[in-house]
Amino acid sequence: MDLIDRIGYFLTLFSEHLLISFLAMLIVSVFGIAIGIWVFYSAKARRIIMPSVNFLYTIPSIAMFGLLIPIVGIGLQNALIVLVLYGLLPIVHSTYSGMKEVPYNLVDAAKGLGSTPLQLFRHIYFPLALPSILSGLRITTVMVIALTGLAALIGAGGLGQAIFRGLNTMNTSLIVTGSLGISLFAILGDKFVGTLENKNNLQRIISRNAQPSQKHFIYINIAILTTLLVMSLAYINPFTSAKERVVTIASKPMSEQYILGEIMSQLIENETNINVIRQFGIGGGTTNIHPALLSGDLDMYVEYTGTAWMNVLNQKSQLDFGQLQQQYQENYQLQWLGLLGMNNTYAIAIPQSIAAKKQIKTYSDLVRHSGDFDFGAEFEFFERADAYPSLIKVYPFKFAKLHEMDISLRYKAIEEGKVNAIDAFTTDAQIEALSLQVLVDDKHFFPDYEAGIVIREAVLKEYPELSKLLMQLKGKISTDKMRKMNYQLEVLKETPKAIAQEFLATLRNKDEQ
Amino acid sequence: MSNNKKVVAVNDVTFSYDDKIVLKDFSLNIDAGSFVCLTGESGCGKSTLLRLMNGLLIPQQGDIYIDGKRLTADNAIDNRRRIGYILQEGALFPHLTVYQNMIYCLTLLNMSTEACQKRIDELLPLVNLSQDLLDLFPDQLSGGQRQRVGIIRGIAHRPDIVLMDEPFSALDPETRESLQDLVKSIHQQTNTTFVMVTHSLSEAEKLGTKIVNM
Repeated sequence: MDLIDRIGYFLTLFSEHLLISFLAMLIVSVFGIAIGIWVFYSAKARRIIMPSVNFLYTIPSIAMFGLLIPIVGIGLQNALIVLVLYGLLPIVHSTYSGMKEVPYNLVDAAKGLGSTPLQLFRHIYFPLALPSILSGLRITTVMVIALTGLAALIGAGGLGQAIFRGLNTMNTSLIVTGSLGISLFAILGDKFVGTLENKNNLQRIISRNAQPSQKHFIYINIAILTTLLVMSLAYINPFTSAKERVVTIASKPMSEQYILGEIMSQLIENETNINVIRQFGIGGGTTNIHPALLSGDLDMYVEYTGTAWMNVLNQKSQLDFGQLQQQYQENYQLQWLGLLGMNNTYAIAIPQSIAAKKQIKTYSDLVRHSGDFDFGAEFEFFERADAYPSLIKVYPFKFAKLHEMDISLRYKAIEEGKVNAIDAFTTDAQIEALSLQVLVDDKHFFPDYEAGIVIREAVLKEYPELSKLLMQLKGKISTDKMRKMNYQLEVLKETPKAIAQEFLATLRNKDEQ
Repeated sequence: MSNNKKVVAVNDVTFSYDDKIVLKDFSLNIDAGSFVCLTGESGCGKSTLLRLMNGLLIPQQGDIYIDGKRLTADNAIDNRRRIGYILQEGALFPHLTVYQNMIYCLTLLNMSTEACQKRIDELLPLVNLSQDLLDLFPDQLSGGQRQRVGIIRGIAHRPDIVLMDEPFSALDPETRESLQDLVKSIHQQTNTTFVMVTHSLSEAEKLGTKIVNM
């Protein structure tokens, strides 16, 4: 593993994580405190706002990210909205209850001595509610930092990306580093807000009676945070790319997609002066990437013909690539730039040992023995119309038990014996690593899932050179080659970057010969 | 007393919380410079009357005049700035220092730092408090010290009228006695009008120039 690359990768993720959570916290603090104050003064607002805030909190965060995609697309905006909506609850509640619990005799005293309502708020309510507000802020901080981990699912970046990349490519060290990073970050965030809360530091500062040591302590903490923010901003530099020549390349959350995304990215970076933004491992795959392509948030990715035909175009008939290309162009202004050569179709795999013992070679064989099998597959497999629901109409499997799990956990599950049949993809590295047998689809149920590059026409118009460049990859990646590269990534733990480099070097050498 | 000018006039005031009538057609005139003690059972409306006088409550019927001017919700805040208010146990603001508590009314009036400092220097000997206490917080003081701070807070802005709501009820007898003496001497020195709510008849008799049993 290339250590320097990894450090750079983590610095980027850390910077993104810091900036996203800070920005979310800033918005949440301003709005949350303002709403908390508003509901304190207005009983009418309280009756409407409090239940709404509570309701928002009950929506599973991962669903909220998804729900917002059709409205605001993927990326930072979506992430910020979700983080802010979630963060509101503790801060609104703590602001409201902090104000409510200011002792009545103090309010009476301040009023009786001649404070105006504004003075009463500034001198009495707000400073006295501050400890409660800050304790709410602490909870929100930890929550937002942890939730920012999920933002990677919708391409907003952050340390969660390492976790998802690790999950998708069977890389435990990435998962551990990403998780520890988030935990450490949450602890630091909590400590930072804690410095404002401890010894009533912030209350003293706004009441203008802080000891010099208290002030210095807070200022130093703020200075450290500001420095980190500025450094992070400088490191990822989100402002420069806007005017430059840039394309955004997406990938689904699968090993080969990271490699293919990296191959396209490096090819473009090597051969043109176009900058590439990598939005790899977008949660939900096609479901979220396709709309983002239509909205222009993303520019290109590798799609599979079967998925495009059945899920995007909703076709039931036999796949026709010519028609597929035409409909993509007409309906979506998207182009298919040739096929890469690999067919990553669904397959059902069982351990070789069981296959030999029970003489199971085909799906039809499996139907007869299906009562002996626990079948595990990813959520998408059970959900997609072209997958499990149609499959059991052709092959009436009656599995003993069905296990829905994350796509990355299927092989783990079969390795540990939790299931003994899984859905697999023909390019999966683990098929060989775990001695699995891919059964024969004797009734040809599964269509072809040939990989091809899908790109926005507008991008091709802007950068005409991309068409010829990316066509170089046409037919160059066979199913075997892809499985080998997946093996390099998942089993040999090479980075997508290194694998892509090696692939492109070989490609160049062949061209030169 | 020196003159008979009415500084507070309560005319036929009726006040009720929800359905419970606390004061009915109540009238009272308070002469400038007098020390009026309001006594009576709890729930008789003596605290309510005090809060009506500084406009924290507005009567449903009847009027209250302060210095000949009718008290309304609109002029209540301006009025309060000319009235001192001293509460039970001091009701000091816990997040402000002793000094900041003392000058609270002065800051509301935007008085300069120097003027505030000068006024507090003037008042400290009067209530027997030392300069060392100024930077402490209320929870670092004894009950008696807290009430002395409360008294300074209530009179620092040289109010014409000082309203006191059972100021000494939570203190031990010895401290109470010394504070009663203190308030009495302040009253004599400043010739300010004092209105005090107390449930102790002996306290009323000791301090009051007029006792109103409600």
